Amino acid sequence: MGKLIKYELKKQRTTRMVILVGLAAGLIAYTAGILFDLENVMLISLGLIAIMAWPVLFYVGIESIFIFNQDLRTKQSYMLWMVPKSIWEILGAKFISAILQILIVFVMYAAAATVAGFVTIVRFSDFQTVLESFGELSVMFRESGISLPDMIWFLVYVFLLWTIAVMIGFLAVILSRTVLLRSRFAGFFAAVLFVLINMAVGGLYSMMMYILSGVVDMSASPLWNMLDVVFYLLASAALFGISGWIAQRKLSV
Amino acid sequence: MMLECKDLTKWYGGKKAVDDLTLYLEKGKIYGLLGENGSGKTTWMKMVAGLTKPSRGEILYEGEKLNYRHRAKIAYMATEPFFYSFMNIGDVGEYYEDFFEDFDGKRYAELIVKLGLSREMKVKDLSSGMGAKLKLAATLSRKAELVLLDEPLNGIDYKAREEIINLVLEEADENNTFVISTHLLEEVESFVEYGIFIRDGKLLEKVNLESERMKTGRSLADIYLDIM
Repeated sequence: MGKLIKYELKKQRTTRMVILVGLAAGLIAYTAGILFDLENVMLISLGLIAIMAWPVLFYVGIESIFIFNQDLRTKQSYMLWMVPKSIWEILGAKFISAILQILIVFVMYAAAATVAGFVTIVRFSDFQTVLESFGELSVMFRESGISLPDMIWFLVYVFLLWTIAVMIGFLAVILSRTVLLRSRFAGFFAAVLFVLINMAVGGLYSMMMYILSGVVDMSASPLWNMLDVVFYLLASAALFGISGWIAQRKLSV
Repeated sequence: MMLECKDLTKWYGGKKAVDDLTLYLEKGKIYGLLGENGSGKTTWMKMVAGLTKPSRGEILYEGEKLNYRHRAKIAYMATEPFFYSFMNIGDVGEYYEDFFEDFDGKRYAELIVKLGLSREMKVKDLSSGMGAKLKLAATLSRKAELVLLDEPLNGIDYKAREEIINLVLEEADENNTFVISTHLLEEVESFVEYGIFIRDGKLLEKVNLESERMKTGRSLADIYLDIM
């Protein structure tokens, strides 16, 4: 599967390059703003880097779905389906490379933040203020009631929600390309299916919660968190299984 | 028997591309898959290559139901350009090397030079003729048991066609089977051993061309016109 991941990551290379160039340009502008006391340049460049982080992460998160659809539309999918690899390996490689892509972009942003912080410290030569800022930030978190376990749970939730979104995306693309193999509307149909399957999964979740809340009183219980995790894991596994099953039997690439 | 296709049918919407086709292929032969445009040749090849799923019927490879593992033994050259657009010709060789144990990198290097290509050329910048040569070089650099070539001479200049035919003849032996789909009957007449004639997705006839030539003296074109 490692080799499949290698080529999936190569497909996403352009996105990484664009993000890298954007970050580098932002950092250069920020550094210039700091060095030459151009406050506007400094603020705008930093603001742009921060504002763009969300759409960039959102796009990177779902890029693997677009690439999968594009593979099937352009017949580059032959490259995957002509090699002696099972559908599980192919879909698994796509999923893992999507995780890696997000991690790489995250590291790029972390590196950019470190560089920006370093430049700021060097320019103002005031480590004390920086340390104090970190101290204030941690106090702010503590006082607002956000603990480390809360943050870990939050990250786990984000990861699970993202996983389920990617799995729904894969299923939508596979269904669309199975039913509307030669139609130019297959991409649009996949988007519609994505919304519908999302709604179905959401409905299932609500139903499960409704049934369980009638059985046991778990309000404010940490068990709810566990239940969420179990639901998302099972739903993701089921979506992955259905996608693979359909692709193995019905999908013509 | 190397390959058995039993009652193979493929529907595209309301159209039957392959219709109840039963066909057996033996090891060590060169087959010509012959028929008009839209007769189902490409669909049949894609089903055997594992890219298209049959609506009905089954494909057995050496007695076993066709599955993804068989792709290690089957080499398919499609008509469409299918290499990743970010690749150059060298990357294509690396990709085949990564996934196919039967790929011969040295042979690939020789073939791309022989066919007037170079490793640095980008896949997305290739003309259709050069793209076809690249597909052939990659496919024929594998020592696959079953080689499926879909219209391998299309878009290839006259001079290179002879080169390609020679390559096929160099590779063909008693351990592998070639299936070549083509409209260019005269080009393949000299080396194709069996003609598989298809119309409207149905198998019309499988003819041993050599014995037919011996018996009746008819050319491939004559046989084609008689059958079709």
